[in-house]
Amino acid sequence: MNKQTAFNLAEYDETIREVLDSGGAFRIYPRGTSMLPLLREGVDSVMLEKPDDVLKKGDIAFYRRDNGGYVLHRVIKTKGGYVMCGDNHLMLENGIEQRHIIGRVCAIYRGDKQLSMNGPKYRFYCLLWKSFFIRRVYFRLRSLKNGRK
Amino acid sequence: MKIKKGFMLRKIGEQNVVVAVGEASRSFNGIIRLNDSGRYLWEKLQGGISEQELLQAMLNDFDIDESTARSDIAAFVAKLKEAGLLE
Repeated sequence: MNKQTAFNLAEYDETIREVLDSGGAFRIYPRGTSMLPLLREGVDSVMLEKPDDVLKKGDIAFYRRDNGGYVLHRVIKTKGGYVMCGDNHLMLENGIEQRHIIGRVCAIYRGDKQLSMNGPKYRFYCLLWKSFFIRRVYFRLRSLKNGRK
Repeated sequence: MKIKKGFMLRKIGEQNVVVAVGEASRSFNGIIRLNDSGRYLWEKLQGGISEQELLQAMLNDFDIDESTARSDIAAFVAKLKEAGLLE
């Protein structure tokens, strides 16, 4: 049962919420590049659950923007509404509130292997990625490397 | 035969899908897509039904012969067992 199909998320909205409301977890395979280098499209997946409380800095949230778009990005700030940013981005997104939040990532699968969110590897990554300076350096190195190919 | 607790059938767009809710969704996190006959069998199995009753129901509701019905049921039940969805 590992076959992946592209789903229209809007059609699944109600069902995802229903599963999360039941205290369950829903697995999604994020598309796009915005959560690189953590989440690779078509390879990695995350489990969502309903947060029992407001989100914390560093949480990865699944939310629906007012324009209808579904996004999986990380919480950067929590004061006065959430500020979000994908791990592969430098630009912050303001104006996300609790009402936009559908779920929070409670488990990460890199390929078939679960990446412990309490483990040193992930915690170190989060610590590094908090720094936008480090992101910039990483993006620069990556583009140099890709440019040489 | 009965479907385990924690699985529900939903219509999403044009498709019949089964998703796990609550505790069941912690261990089962796929989505099962059913065609119309799958949906029919699923609905019967959700309430609990014997193989014989299911066969009878199919013969009443569809214009099929007994051996086809039997093999359809067997194939579907085998799939459900494989996925661990039967009690």
